[in-house]
Amino acid sequence: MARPQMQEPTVLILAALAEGRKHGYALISDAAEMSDGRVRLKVSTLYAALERLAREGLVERAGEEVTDGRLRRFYELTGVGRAALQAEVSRMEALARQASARLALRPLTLGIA
Amino acid sequence: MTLDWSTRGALRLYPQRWRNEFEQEVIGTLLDVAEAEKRNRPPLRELFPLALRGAWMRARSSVVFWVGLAIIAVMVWVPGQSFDGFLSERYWPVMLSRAGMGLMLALPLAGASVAWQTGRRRAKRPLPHRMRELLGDATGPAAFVAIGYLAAVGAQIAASGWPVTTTTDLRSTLVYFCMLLAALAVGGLVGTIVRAVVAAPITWIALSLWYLLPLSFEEEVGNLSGSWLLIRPLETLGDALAPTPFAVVSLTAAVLAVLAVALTIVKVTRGWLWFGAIFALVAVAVSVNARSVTGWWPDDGVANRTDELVCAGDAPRICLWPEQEAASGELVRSTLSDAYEKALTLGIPVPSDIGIYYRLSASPDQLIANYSETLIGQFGCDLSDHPDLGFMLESSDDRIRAELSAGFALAFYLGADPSTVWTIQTGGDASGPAENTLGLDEMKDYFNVHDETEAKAAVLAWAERGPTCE
Repeated sequence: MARPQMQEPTVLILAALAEGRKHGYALISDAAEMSDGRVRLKVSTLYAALERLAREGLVERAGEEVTDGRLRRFYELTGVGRAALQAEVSRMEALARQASARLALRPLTLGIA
Repeated sequence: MTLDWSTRGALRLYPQRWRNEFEQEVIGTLLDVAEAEKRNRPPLRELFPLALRGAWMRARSSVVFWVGLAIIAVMVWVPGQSFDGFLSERYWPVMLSRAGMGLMLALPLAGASVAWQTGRRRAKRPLPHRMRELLGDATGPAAFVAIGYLAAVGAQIAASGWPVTTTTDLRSTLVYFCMLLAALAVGGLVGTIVRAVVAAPITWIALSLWYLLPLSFEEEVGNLSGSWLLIRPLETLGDALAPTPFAVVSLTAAVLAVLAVALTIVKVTRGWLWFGAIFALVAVAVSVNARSVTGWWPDDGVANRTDELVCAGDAPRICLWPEQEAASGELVRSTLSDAYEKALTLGIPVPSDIGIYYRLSASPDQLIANYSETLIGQFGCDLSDHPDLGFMLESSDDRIRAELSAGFALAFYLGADPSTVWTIQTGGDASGPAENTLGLDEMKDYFNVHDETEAKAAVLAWAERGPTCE
């Protein structure tokens, strides 16, 4: 059965983890960077998503360290998570191609003349 | 950077299991966010959703939370099922009394909730419990009952409007509080004795039976019934600013009984068990039988007038609340005066003092219908005592049928619209009479009241028959 469409915060978190293991704040700042500041993940949203993704087997813990008295726990993509992210990206790309074709614009270079 | 009270508070809302696993990590992230924004503490936009999620996580895994929702639901639902829904006489004593109608269903749930928690704690570690743990068990259910009670008061205010007088009477509220304490104590005691899966249903069944015992028992037994304790406040009308001695005694007895039970649970020994049980029984017996002590209970059935009433006329003498006088005084006085004069022509006793009508939304037909019920009530049982007039038609009780017919006939004779009268008698609403009752034409045939002549004959026959209420 096909996985339901992912919400944007989920995609951003998985995409941030695709680079390698990261801790909570790094995921928040990466999500903001990837969305050009449009998406500001709240801490509660982030950890609700991480708990759910861990339950689904898409992410897993990858160590922890204490810096300046603060516990930082790292997360990384699992193989299943990487595949799920790839599938979602492919879906989004296919949709973008369809939309571009209908707009008669070049795909993935939606610049403004 | 240190953790402030708001951040600590938000995290405390989470279940302990979650906190053990995630709290330190989340704190680190919150501090990173604050530092990046050059703040001294995490921003409110982070803490508020964090707190909400914590509360939800704790609530959804808590039996007490879901039982609490049920408590609130019944506290609001039950008063809405009464004769006229949430419409209430617009003064505080009646509104506060009616708001407690749902306690007969809510208190067993509250007691069972405490029994569940106490029983589960007992299963995890041996007795005795700590006093603060008992308080913790009781706080949640008590809070839900309080919220439900306030919601029921609010529903009445929304339906009827703000009370027309500032006179308050907390007797019924105090008695309800005593009952709540007793229910929580019973739950705590049962949960101490048996395990949770047994304690909760036992408590629920025992309290349900106690609150639903019928009042048709002999008076001595009825005095011991929780339903009596519930009904008496509902019948209480008064203008005292201070609680009566009965309410004070009840409150004192309930608090002492609860303390005795709590001490018993905290210091579980055979001696304390006997002491707590005997003390609690004595306290309950004293409180319920305080009614028989002269001067400790107000006169039954006496509606005390307040200084705020606006009274005019001699025959009839009609008293209204100031807001009624301002909004519809002329209509009420003219309608009731006409009804009084016409009632006199029947030759039946008609008191010159006309009872207070609290509902500002009363139409002339409703005013006459209520007035007719009052007059008929002096010959027999007050019709307002009947829980569901519509269903009474299906009974073979000729007395009730006769009362209904007399009330309808008198209102008909005095000029009220028959369909409005029948709707009021059956507890219907704007759409018509209640379900499972006769239609208007069928009812006219049933009562044999089709016109003014038959109406007059029915009333006179009733008057001649004399008092029939037993």
